[in-house]
Amino acid sequence: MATTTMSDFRIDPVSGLKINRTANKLVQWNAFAAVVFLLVGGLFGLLVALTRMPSVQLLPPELFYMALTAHGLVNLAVWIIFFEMAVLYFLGAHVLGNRLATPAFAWAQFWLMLVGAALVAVAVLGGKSSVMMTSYPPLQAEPHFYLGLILFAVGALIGCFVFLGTLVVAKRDNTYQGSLPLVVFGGVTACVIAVFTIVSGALILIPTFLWSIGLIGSIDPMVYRVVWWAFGHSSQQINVVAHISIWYLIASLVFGAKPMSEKVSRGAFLLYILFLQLGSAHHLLSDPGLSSAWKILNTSYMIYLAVLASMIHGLTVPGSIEVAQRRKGIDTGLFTWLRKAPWGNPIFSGMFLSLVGFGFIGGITGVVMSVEQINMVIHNTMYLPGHFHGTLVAGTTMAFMAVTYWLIPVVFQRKIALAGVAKLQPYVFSLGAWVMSIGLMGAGTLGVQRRHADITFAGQPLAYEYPEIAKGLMDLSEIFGVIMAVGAIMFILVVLASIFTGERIAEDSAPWPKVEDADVTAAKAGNKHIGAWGMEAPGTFVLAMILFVTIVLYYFINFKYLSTVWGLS
Amino acid sequence: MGTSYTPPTNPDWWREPIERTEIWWIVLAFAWCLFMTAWMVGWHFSGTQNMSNETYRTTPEVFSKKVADMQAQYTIRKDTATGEDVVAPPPGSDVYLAAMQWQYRPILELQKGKSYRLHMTSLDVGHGFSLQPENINFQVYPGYEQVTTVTPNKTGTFAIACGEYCGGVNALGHHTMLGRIYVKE
Amino acid sequence: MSGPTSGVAEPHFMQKALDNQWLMLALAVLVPMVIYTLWGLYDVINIPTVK
Repeated sequence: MATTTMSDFRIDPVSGLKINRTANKLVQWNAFAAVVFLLVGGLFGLLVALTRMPSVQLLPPELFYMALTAHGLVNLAVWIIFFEMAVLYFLGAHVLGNRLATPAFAWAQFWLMLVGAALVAVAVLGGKSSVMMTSYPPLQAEPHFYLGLILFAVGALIGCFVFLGTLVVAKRDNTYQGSLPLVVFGGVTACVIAVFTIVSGALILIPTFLWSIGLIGSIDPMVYRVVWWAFGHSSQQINVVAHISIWYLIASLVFGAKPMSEKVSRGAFLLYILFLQLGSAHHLLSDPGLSSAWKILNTSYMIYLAVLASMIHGLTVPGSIEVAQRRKGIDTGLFTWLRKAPWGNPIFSGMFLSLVGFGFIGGITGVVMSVEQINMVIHNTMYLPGHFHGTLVAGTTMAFMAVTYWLIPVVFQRKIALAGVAKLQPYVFSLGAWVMSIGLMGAGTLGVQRRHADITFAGQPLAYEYPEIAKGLMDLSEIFGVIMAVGAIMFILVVLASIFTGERIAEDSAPWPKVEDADVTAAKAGNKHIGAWGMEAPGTFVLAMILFVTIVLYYFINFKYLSTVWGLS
Repeated sequence: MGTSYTPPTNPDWWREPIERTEIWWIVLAFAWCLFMTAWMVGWHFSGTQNMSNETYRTTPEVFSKKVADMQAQYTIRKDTATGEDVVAPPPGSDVYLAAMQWQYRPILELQKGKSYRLHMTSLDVGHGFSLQPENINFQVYPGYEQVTTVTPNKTGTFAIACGEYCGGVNALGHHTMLGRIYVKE
Repeated sequence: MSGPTSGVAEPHFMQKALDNQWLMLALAVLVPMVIYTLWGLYDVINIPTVK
């Protein structure tokens, strides 16, 4: 067993963390790959947006379906999972002053994922694998499509076990005392959910691959969907856990915030571990054959316990910021703590925009859509992409972008270049994502279907015309989709400029000023934390109540709408 | 000392009391969670729109025969748009609708306020059934026949669009797939 | 150091459970495998054939 010497580690002047050089390389390579794929997937997304604008319709249908398949896979799977590998290694190694358990396996993770992604890209761009990200049989892609996905998944699985092994090393080498830090526990949560996700994917994609090369006669479409969605939806739930961990991290980095209650936050992560994957049933609510009992128990994540967990994090993250601000003396009124937050710092603004976007746009709509009966008036309409751009783009991607502004100095040892662009980026990106999501959901409520290259049914004898306003909403939404793409390009420009031309931060340079832990500041100043109404985070409570009232109203509005359609039983 | 990226400062953190803001929020959120669960169950008993679970394994041949039988018995006219049969099955009867690349057939005519047992399957790949402008959406699969009791509550001309990508080329495909249901008084 | 030191109470069993990543892994895989996957497949497999 190799022993590590001091030169294997460096003390990072930006964060104060003790960073292992090999682990750092792996974080760099995974993060960089992630950003490259964000760009590639984003460009396909731009082509999709320009085609789905009824007034533009850029691509002809066959190319559109190919671009849509590429956009879905690259952005939903490749960009995000590469970034999450970087995050896991960062949490397991850098945050714990630790080395990676088995760097050789970590490199295997990277290369398998890269080769897998490349194979899928070749298959999709070849034009005969336009089966959408979901690749439902009997639609069949070329064998290397499935093989690429399998290799990608195996790589990710290896990464998960490298992370878990890394935690074992940290414990054994005593690099930390007591329990894992909260954000690392969030990493554990993401990782174990990822294992379920990937195993489910393998269970279904391997037989499907064998079918594509003729070794298996057929794949039952319902069996495929049940098992595939254990992979498909759960992979997105990993993102939720990852971005929530990042929110907690940023709250501490920017404000010196401390978790309001380790028990509550970790308990909420436990609810995720147990029940989050059950939400895969959301995709099967309008399917035949599955019992209502199965649908109700699974779609509710077990009587909504995982939703409870999300609502908890939705309060405790901003709550911890409010408490930190109040302890530092910004203790007046209900929202002064928020007004006086550093809105010009993209690490914070991106994080908070992610929180609000995920909660109000993605979260509320997700809870409502996942009601078994309401799903009937939503399923496979544009409401779906509207919802998941609210969760994945306004939420997860925005959070990942925000933390990248901090990771670049720490991991790449470069100062942020184009700082002015970085400052604006979260606002541009979020504006685009929020309005696009809301607009698409509006179009979906008016019936516009998913994955259509052309919504006019032009030239069809049984022609149907969506209401004019639906087409208008599609135009509007996709214009904001373009704005969102501009926001993404701004991010990529900042990242590339910083990594390649940003001012280097010498290893031995003076430590950067660190934000003092809020309770240390409070103790020194003798601040008595006041809050209001006996609560230490009253402003956050008010914001949470606004979210709550919105959910309740929206829930009943949707049931009212459901009750007006044809009787169904 | 205490942050989210350092170990908990209290080594006995599970026993640390929970502060009021969180307790009130957890209680309220949990109550809402229970309510939503109960409402979803309760709607099955008191709501007029619910998912049916009645499903059978079938084959395109078996189902197509049922369509043909229904069409032979209950066709009432030719549709002005396409010249195809319009089938008007009697209220309370079994109605057969097939999804295929790239249309829903046959064209149906139903009566407002009457109930029908609507059977659907796909003759090839997965499709989506989307009744417009009602915006009622289901998945439809090859090899599976699902039965839903539908009761139209308005008259008019309703389109069936497809929400599940089902292939096709530029001229004809998922994005051109349509069906039609007329509802009369 | 993990485990109690003198003067510090034994951690609550929930704390110890949450600190156990292998237990978390087992729960994350087994619970949804049964409630979602196996039950769902059971429903699908038991769909009767049409008469």
